[in-house]
Amino acid sequence: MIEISDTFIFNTMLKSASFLGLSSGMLGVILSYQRRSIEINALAAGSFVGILVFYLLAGVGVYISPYIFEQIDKYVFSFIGSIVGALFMIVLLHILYKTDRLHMHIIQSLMTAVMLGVGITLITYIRHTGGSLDSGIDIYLFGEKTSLTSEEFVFLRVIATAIVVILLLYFSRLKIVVFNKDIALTTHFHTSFYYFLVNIMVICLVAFSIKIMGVFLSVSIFLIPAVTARLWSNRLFIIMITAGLIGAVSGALGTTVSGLLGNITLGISITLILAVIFIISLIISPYKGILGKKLYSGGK
Amino acid sequence: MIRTYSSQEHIEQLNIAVKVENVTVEYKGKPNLFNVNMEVPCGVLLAVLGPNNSGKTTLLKTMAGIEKPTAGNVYIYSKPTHAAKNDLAYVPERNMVNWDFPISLFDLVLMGSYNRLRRVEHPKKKDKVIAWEALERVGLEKLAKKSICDLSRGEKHRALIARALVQDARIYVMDDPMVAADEESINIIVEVLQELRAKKKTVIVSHHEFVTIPRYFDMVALLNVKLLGMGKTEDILTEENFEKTYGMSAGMIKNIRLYMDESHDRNK
Repeated sequence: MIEISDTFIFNTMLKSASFLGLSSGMLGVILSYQRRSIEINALAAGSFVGILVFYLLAGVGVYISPYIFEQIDKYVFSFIGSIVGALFMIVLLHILYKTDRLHMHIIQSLMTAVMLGVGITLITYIRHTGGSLDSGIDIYLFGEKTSLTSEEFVFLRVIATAIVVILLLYFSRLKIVVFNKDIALTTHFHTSFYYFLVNIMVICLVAFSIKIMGVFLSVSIFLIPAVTARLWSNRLFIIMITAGLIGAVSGALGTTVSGLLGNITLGISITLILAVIFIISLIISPYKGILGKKLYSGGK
Repeated sequence: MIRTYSSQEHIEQLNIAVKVENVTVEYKGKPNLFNVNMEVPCGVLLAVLGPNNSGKTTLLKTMAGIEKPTAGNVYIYSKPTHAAKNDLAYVPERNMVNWDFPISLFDLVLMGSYNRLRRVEHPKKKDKVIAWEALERVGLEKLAKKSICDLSRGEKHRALIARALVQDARIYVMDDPMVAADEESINIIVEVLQELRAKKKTVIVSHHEFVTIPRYFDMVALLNVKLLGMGKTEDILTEENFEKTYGMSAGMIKNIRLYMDESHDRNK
């Protein structure tokens, strides 16, 4: 655990969580209207398994060629593993959607459960085998404060900024693609290009969110800002900006709370802050708030 | 395969807005459409009639290039559907649209201008003027700022048609644009359809109300997985054809006939 006085690490994590919150909050709005919010759970679980498999492969690699493998940083393996795992999961999910046998939410929940089962089995195996391999692997469960290296932070900042820029540039087109696929197709949009773009952005963000938020809570930073922002506006653009701001503020506040309390991980503190913002919005928001509706309509 | 036409053939092709050639569409191994052949001339109002699950929506979606046929081809002005950019505007069935989507009515109608914009371009003032005119045409200009979730059923139909009008296509394909709409909305929609015909646009509509067909449409296509008949309204709307399409009892068809006669008398 880091102390809040450890300014450099604290600042790095605060910025990382804010960048992650901003980009995933905005992307979460698109995902929620594609009815894919729960898919984040499955992607995070797939990413988790990918990381563990790459850890195991790295362990085998150290035995075979110690010189080469000891030169490579652990985070490179974990990042490649998480990208490969999430990619595998997204392909698997889309194959299963196309079979049209089960509802997409059932498929998402089923794959999450299966992948978490595989992941927990692998993590247990890695712990039993012991050695240096199992150090730092627990951060993928609930997130950690010191989990990002400075190289990872730079990478996250670049990816998050790129995602925000892409979402703003392609906003009009993404709006139609998400609103109605048939209308998008007859307007001659390449809908598959936009789905591909969204999938790439999701995979990249999941690779970071699993480190900061942990496998179980990754979904919260995508889903809760989107749902909360919907309570404040009826316009997609405003919802997207609001969700980004809620994500960024929750990331910053969550890091601060985690630093102050010292004994809760980043994933848990960010999720709790998001939950508090959601509950307050649910009560006072003008459009759908429990009290807000009455307040703004003059009690009528 | 590139098709070439002789000059006579070419003139004939120009008069055909939509050509459906041996089209079969399967879903989970069962045909939704089977070996459908039809040619829709330019500038007509065509109603596609048939019972539930007869393949009306599948036919319209195949014409619009949304569904890919398992076999056969669809040509829009002699071009394959994917090459017929800006030639066709599609109005989806009201129930197939997510009305909880957080956009205003004006935003929805403005979506019709996106086929003219480049990839990262946003609508310009000119596009907004066209969208506003379309809203005025369907009588919804006062609701422009309203969220689409707050519209009534009839207003939703009109909103979708206004979006298609902004596209300014040569062919309009509309899936049930009048179902469960109020009388005011139906009147406005029918006026819009007739204006489109006057502008030599081709309009293909799936429809349920037998009574109104002779009044609104020039041509009718009867569909029940296969195309059972297509031609001028008065030639196609016969008892025999109804029975063939709907498989209804004679009594039921008599009632429909009665309705049709009454509406015919009213028109006189």
